[in-house]
Amino acid sequence: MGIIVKKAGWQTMVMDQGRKNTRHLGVPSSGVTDLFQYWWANGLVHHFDFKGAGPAVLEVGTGPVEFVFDQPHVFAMTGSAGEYYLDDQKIPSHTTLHAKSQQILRIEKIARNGTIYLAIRGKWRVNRVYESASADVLSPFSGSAGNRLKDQDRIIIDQVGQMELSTVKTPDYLKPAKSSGPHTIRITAGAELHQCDQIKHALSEESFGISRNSSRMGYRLTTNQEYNHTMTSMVSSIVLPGMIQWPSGGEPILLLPNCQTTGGYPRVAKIIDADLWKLAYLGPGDHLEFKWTTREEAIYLRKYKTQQFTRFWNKLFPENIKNHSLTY
Amino acid sequence: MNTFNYQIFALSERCLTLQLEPVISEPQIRWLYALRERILIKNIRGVQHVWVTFHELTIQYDVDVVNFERLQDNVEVLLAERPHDMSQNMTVKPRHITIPICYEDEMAWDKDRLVSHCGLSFEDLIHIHHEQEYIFYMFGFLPGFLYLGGLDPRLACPRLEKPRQNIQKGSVGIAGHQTGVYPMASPGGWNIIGRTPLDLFDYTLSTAPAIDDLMIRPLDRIRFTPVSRLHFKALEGKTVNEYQKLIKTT
Repeated sequence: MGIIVKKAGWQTMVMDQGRKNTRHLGVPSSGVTDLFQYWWANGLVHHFDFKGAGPAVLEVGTGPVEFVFDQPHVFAMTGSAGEYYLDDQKIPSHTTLHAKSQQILRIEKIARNGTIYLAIRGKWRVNRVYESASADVLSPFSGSAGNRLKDQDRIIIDQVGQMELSTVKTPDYLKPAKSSGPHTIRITAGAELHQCDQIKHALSEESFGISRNSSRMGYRLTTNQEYNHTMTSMVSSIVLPGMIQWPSGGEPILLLPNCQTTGGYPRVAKIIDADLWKLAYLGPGDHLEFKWTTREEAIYLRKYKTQQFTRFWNKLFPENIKNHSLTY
Repeated sequence: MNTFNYQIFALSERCLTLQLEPVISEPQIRWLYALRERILIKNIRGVQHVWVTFHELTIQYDVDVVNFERLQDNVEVLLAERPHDMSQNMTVKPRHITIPICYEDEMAWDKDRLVSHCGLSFEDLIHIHHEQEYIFYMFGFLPGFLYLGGLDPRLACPRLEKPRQNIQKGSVGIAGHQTGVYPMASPGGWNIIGRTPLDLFDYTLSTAPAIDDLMIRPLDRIRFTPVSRLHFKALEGKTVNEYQKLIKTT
């Protein structure tokens, strides 16, 4: 039961909500970047238990990838726009789908810098380290069968009871939209911002490119000019995904879920929780603009987004989700 | 023992940070770990995770249960109760851990650089290095990377200008006034003085270890003991715990 990987692509990994409460061990959280699309993918296959790291999914970054179902399975894909086939039949994303045994799922194309979350109903027999199956390509923590999936890998997925054949579809307004121009992301002040005079202005006035020299730990951002500040060295301090560190005279670094747990560069800003999902659909060549906001507004937006999500979820699915079971 | 000047701020929408002077000091980090313990013992509603770095303690909390202001009040009350003797009353007592280290040329990648920068012979460097007792301050940078305090100032040496792509697992490094141990192969810019054959951290556990179950716990006292190339080979793959038992029985 499960899938056999025919073509793995080079950015396909097992993911879930990541490692919780391990930062004191130097262990990154990892996990998916867009929790909302991760939850929708799981909801569509009637996975409703999000305690701990939650159910495993596949995160696919580039096509083409191919999987063979070795038993009938219920599955769903969410995230970026793309081109998908079940055998030769074109299929939609953001909906519940049913595969027969030996059918081949092909994710042919994915929007540039996109991310697809593929949920398959059942209990995934994948290695869980520190309670999570999330792969971390930069450390010994891995998901199934190594870090990134490879051709011929097999993921065993035990059946967990029948799901009725009705098809649920998430409405279009719940799909992640990506604009063609610079992407605006809201930020709050970081711990050392007040010691870096020019940076506050630069963050709101500059347009930032994402450098090719980026990884799952963080995006290196390019600027039109060099910015210096007086904070040239600092004691290694706590950093979190979504933080922007800015070495004097160097490139700012926007930290992602696989980021290390301590950093030695000034923490000038933090992306608000309500905008973190946007990072799943950005990458080299994209441009960002930042907009300052307050902590109060960030808390309000976080609450608003979570409530909005919960309302839609409860309308679509038979099993209600409660705010407290979401780790967002 | 005195309390420290601190400030409390929101590190993010759901993280509160208490920050001390930006220095690396044993009394300061001991105080932070003691505060961490007291916060956990108090079982403050909504607190999900508390962790310490050199000069900061961060609390991640559930915003649906507690807000920043209330949590700040809770922390301030704890600080006002017994600010002076916190470190003396910690329940987790530091242990003495011995870590074998091989200083042979093929493991001391930055021997020449250290000799030239510190102005000492390598024999003297080795002597100073393993005579010293170190304190394990915190994990950071990598899963299980050990930041150790207590480096003799004569061994201080700036980081490499160009970091290496692949430092070997177990390498013991010096960067400025800090020393640390790479528990896994990784890129890095620390000056490598030697290597330990031991496994320092367990990357295979299905659940994260509690602090008490770690092979090396914060504030433990660490001593390096020199071993030969041959002895290094014989010890490869042993854990810190296995080695402590081994040296007790021999």
